[in-house]
Amino acid sequence: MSAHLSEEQLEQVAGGVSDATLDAHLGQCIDCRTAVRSARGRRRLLKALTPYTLSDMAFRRVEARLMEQVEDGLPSRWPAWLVWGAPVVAAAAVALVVVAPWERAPVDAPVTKVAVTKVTPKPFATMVATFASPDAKVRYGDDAWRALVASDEVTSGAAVSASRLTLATLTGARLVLEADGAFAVGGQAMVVLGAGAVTAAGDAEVLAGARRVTSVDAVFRVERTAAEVMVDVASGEVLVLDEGSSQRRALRGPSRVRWADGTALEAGVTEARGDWKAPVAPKAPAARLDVGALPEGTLLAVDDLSYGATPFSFMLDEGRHKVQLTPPGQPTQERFVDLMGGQPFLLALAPPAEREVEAPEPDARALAQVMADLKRQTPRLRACYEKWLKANPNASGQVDLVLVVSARGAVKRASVKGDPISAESAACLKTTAKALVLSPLGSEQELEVPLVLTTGKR
Amino acid sequence: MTWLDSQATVAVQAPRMREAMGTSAVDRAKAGDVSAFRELYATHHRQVTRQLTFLVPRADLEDVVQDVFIEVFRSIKRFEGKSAFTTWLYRVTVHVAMKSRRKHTRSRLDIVEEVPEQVDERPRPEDVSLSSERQARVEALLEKLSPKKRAVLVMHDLQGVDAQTIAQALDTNILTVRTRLFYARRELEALAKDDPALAEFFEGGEA
Repeated sequence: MSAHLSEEQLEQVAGGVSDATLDAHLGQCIDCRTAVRSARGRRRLLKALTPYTLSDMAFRRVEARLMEQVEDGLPSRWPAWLVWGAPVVAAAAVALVVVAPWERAPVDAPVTKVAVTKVTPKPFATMVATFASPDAKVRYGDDAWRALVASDEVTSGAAVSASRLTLATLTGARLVLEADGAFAVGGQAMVVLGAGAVTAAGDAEVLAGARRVTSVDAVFRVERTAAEVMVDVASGEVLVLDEGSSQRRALRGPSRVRWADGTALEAGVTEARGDWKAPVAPKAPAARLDVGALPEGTLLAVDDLSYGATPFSFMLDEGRHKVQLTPPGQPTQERFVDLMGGQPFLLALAPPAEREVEAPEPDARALAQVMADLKRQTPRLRACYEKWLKANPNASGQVDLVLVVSARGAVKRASVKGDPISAESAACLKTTAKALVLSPLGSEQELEVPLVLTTGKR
Repeated sequence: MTWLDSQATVAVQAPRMREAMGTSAVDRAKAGDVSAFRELYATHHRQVTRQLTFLVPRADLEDVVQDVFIEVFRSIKRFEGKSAFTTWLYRVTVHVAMKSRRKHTRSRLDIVEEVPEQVDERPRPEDVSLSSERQARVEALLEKLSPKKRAVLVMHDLQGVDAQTIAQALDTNILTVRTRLFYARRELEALAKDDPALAEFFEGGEA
């Protein structure tokens, strides 16, 4: 038997299964006895939990809201809420330039400079190219190479090559391919490493030769050459599995171990750590910045980060960004753009007059009607915290009821900000708010309704 | 009053009759039939809710159930029928639950929906049941785990889902699932031992 019980054996004993061999080991191993006791405690704790669910009324509410959304047409995958009273700046209006579709020139030349490394994106979470240098290419199997641009999808089995390429999933994973063939991984991904290096932060799995390196929240780097694999762990812990023998070895950071191909895991050579930086996982980009209308060779910087000269394509986070354009032979233009998810933003050399279009505020008459509706139904809300006020006669303060209201006036979501009242009263407020009947506002709105708590005379 | 059934494990395969009805509703929903979508909700909403229990916080359960079916409506055209609809729905449910963990819009009170109490009069083998305060503390500990560790722990140790199914639902492999489960269990044990209200679960004689 190994030095200690495996996880499976621990669970077996903790679950009450009797085994003479395991019992004999436990009789001599304090660490395993401690581990079994912990496992038993955890199992007792979890077994005692009571599952929670929704009431029939809640199910009916969900059904009603679903049907309303389905019949109205589902919103964009990345909805932008409009806050009552706080105007939201939409995308900047720019030149009325009709851009020709991004032309993809057929590419025949195979990769010469950059190592081809197979990327295995998750089949359910679509891989999307969020940044692609002009030489980015993709191919499947023995098909011809074709150009890869931002917003293209990459699926399982793809081979990719570029001097710079970033792939992303909707869950926020990132693969960044640099010029030397190395990948930087920030998030969840599996990479089959032909040659080069992978630097990972977060959940990642790298298959390099016969070594499979798996981590949960670790920061590490794997390098693969013709005859060696090196694993360098900055922080956290990784598990290295030998595919041939199924041996496992845990490496805890900081540490660095190198193996020659064909050697056992225990034969790895410990050496001094290398000098490398962990990749930074950015927020999930959702908006494509289309630079196709810019003159070729225009230098572009976004948020003080230089992206080089056009043409190239990439995607950015939603929200406001500072863009600096320097067309060849012309002075630099600087402006701010507001990107909204799901919608490409066309960037062109701006005409003199640019204006930011504010989202339309709700119609004043409609708002006044909704105010009247709320005022009329306030007694229902007040009933939720009257009992609490009677029990706490000296209490005062304000609670904000936040409502997300559909275009038709149905309350889709309700939440409570502030904590001067009891949890029971807050729950009542939320439930009552969802049943409020409001007049149509014409578009989905988020409303904040302040409720001033007082025991004064009405 | 609605009672929870006693089935704690996840049923990925639905009974034959229900599946047959579901298949027909699936085809119509793919064609854009709104009433078929309502049928799918009626058929599967309780199962989805069971699968989300402990995967998402109690206060978010209603919203995430809604989000799951919105995603079903958005994505149903991509369902090719290579697996059972319930299998596909399970993957959607897990995917939406994982995404919901990353959404933090406003700070708000931890509103507890009034849920029917599950009353089990049968004596438990260990004669231990959690008070509402302890239940809340354990749920808070689960919240402290990273979303991926929490998902694996809940699905495997609480819902009884096998590692292969978890790997498929999370689009990873069994080794990763076991690794996450290993770390999640150790972390939960350490957190619970540090909580005076829960430490008694770990007291007792030698193994």
